[in-house]
Amino acid sequence: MIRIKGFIDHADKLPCYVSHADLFVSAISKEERFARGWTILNEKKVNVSKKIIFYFNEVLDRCGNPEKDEKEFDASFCITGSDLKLRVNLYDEIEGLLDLKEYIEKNVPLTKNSNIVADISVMVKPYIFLLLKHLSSLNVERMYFLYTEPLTYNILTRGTMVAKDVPGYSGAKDMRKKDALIILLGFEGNRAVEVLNESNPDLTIPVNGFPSYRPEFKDRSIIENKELLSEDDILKNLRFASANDPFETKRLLEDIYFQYSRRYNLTVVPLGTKPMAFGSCLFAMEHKDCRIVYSYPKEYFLKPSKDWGKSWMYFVQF
Amino acid sequence: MEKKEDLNLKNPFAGFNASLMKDDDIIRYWTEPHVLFGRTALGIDLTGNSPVVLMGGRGTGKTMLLKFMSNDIQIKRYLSKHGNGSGFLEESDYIGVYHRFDGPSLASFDNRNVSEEAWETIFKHYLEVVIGQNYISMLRNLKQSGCIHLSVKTEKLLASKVFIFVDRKASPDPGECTLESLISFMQDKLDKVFEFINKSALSKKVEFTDDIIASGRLIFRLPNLIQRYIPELQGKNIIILFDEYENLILQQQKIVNTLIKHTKLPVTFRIGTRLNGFKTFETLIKGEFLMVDADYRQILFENVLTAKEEKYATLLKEIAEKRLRRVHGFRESNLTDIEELLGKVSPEDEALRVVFGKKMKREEINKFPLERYISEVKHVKKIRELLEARYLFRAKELLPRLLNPQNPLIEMVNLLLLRREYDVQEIIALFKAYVDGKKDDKYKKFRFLYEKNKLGLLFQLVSLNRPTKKLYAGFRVYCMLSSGIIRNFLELCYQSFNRAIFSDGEQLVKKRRIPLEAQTEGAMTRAERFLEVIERIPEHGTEIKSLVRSFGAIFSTWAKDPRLSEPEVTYFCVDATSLSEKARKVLNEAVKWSVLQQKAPMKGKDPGEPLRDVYALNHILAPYFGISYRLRGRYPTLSKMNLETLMFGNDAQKQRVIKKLSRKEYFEKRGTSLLEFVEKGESD
Repeated sequence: MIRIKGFIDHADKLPCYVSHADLFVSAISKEERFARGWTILNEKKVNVSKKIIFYFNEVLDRCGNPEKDEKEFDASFCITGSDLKLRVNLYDEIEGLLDLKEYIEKNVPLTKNSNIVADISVMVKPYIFLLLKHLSSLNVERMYFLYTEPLTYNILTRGTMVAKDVPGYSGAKDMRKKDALIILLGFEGNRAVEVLNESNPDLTIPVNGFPSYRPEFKDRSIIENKELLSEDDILKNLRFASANDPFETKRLLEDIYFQYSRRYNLTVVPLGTKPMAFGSCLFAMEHKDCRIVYSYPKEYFLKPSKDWGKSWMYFVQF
Repeated sequence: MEKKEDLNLKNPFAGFNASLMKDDDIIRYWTEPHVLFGRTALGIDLTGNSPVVLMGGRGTGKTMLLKFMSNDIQIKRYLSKHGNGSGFLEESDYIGVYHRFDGPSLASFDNRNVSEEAWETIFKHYLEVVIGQNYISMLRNLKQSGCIHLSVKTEKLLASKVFIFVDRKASPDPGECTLESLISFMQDKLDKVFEFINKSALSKKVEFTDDIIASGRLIFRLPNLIQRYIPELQGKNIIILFDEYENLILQQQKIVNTLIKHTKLPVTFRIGTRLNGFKTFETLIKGEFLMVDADYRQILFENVLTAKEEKYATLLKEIAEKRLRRVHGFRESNLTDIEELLGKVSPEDEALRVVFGKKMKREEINKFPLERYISEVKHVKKIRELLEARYLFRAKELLPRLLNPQNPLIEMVNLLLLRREYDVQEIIALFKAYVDGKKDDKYKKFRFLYEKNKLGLLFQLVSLNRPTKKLYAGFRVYCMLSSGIIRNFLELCYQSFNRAIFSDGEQLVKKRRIPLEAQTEGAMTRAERFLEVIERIPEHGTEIKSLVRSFGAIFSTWAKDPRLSEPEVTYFCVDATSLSEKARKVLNEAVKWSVLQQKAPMKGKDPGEPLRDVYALNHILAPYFGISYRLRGRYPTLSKMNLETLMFGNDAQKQRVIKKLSRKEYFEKRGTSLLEFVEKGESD
């Protein structure tokens, strides 16, 4: 069984823990915060040997002037000849991450003492889940994940294409047990209801991100999920975990696991913040019997947030 | 607040999703739908040998029925009645094994790192193990509840045989040959499947390490083995109750179709699926198809439930009564008849409310001064205007001969006939014959016109008397709004009870009636929620919503057509075979989610025309669009181009089609604001 330890700190403290990164992974986006992680590394003079940046085709395709914009993205990440711009599809995380894995295995010599830094701020959640799974299989002991909060949110996604297990996180359903659904609440209540309807659990535990990045966000997620929370049997189970601390989400999920796993198969639905989703991912990697179901939207809006707030560093040790 | 607690008036209709109900709730709220069980005359036996497909929209009661038939519920129910399980099997014709196809996890049996053939093999193996484990759990259940007597020796012998039957290489310790260890053994096999799924998602180099169980080995042959060792089970059918078949992906459906096609008794199937849930009728054998009636019988829930209006109403009453009885306040006040609580409001009563307000009594209407009636009542003013335009000074003399304040709807018939340019003397003669009750041809003609149009005319009467709103209230109206979907009815009740309990629970008990306004508001909320959900339909949700809003707007203009050429238009016809594949998919999805309900095809107006497919807007949406909740008026057949534009066109194109399909007079009156209507969904 994997044991994962970790802690949270402000991103600008990164040089206290690491002065050199063997590999830096990030992604392009139309969100202003997309290169904050790289900027912090730069400002704090952390040396980086190699950068792999996901260049999402969907982002480039919607640029007014793709060539010019690509150059601007290159400049934002100070791309050099030794770096890799990985052209991938936003909606195909399996292929995108297989490309990453293949490239790292062939071209990036890593040892257990190597330092990997990844900025997950603008990656869509399925990419984050699979990125973590792949990086954890590289036999590197320590990793540093960066996350920059948005200042405000725009519309995030449109419609639900399908609710399905995140690849690699199907868990192991014990047919003798009942089913419990843990929903990390986000701003799209309809997606939570959809997953609930698709899963028909015997027990539902909603988790609200509190404290939230900003006080009004906490109320917004409650309001947006009013349909789900109108069921007394669901509302009475409401729990809280910090919106920006994945380790708190992980701890909460472990408490729930301790309380319920003997009688229930646990499924986590990460619809809340990315740090919460990241925490659920760490949890599911430790507890391989638990599964993660994600409500894949029909469309990701390419600029779901505006400006940026605080930046965090999550240290993870496998 | 205190009073509400004293009365203990909890909403009896909270919790209406059978999938989320606990076993005890299912037993508690179970109401046998006689219309479904009493169909043996039609060759459909829910507990017999032939497979049966139960098809219906979300909330029609499929899951409740399938779960109820499962051994878990049946045994619990028997125990609660009899205290012990002896005699259970003597009373049961069958034993049900329930399995729900879980949508999110089924998609994991499909990724590009593994070939399609390999996934097919693994899914077949998985299904065998799941059902095999279910059989053993059923045995454990029967044993623990005392329904069968299983000596330690027999259990050991049976378990050891099953171990070998499942896996020839298995060599269980004789001391561990129990039903419990068999269940764990099966679970280990399932764990290997999940391990493969998880690893193969991220790598192309993963191999499945367990021995594959051949298709049918456990599903069809394990029951024979079990019956050999447990004589009480001999002669009993084992019914596999598959729920949410529509969640299976195409290849998985072929696998299940093959099992259904090649059913071997004592095993048979009951399949619960949404409408249009079959992605394919193919089996795994090339050229072989699953055929209704030859291979399985089919029940369309909505159609069966609503075919006999009275029986459907009785079923809903029984369902509601069980829920009302569970709440102390209602039970103690003997308020358990939903028909009494929702009451009845006839079109005639509603028309009087619209014209005279809800407080005026019938006796007072008789005393209402005629002069005031003529000068103030809006539809009478309309009649007067028409008479004056056509008969000038005679209008004053003619008008009183067309009035009957005791029933404004028959006055509305007169208005309609004037608009249709009938001669006023003929109208007066028809009207007089009807009021006098002469039972002659004139009487019959007026009566026919009245019965055919009265609800349509009520909508027009309401429209003339804005801001008064059309009522959607009363038990019978709620039955019709629910459109054969039991959950719709429960949600309508939930919304109206919420309002009545919250505003004044004490009054509710005292008056023994939920106010009609509260019921109407409840129906509106339900309609709004239903409309919200349409957008969430994973495939073509946006197109379906656009279609629904367009038809809502179009039907609404027909309801306001002054000549009422087709009253109560709530459906459209189209030759579905002429449509593009994409458009057919949109219609199929709309039917699958019960947004549209497909009715029996209709003949065209001209002989020799092909049959037209008929799609009715789910009546639950009626309050939102301010239209009827009945299937009456006939809408002209739509062309492929018009229908597809409403689905896929841009706003301007849609607007053009809506304008073309709307009643012209109404559109001309409203001008371009109809688009606004479509956008906002306003009822007027």
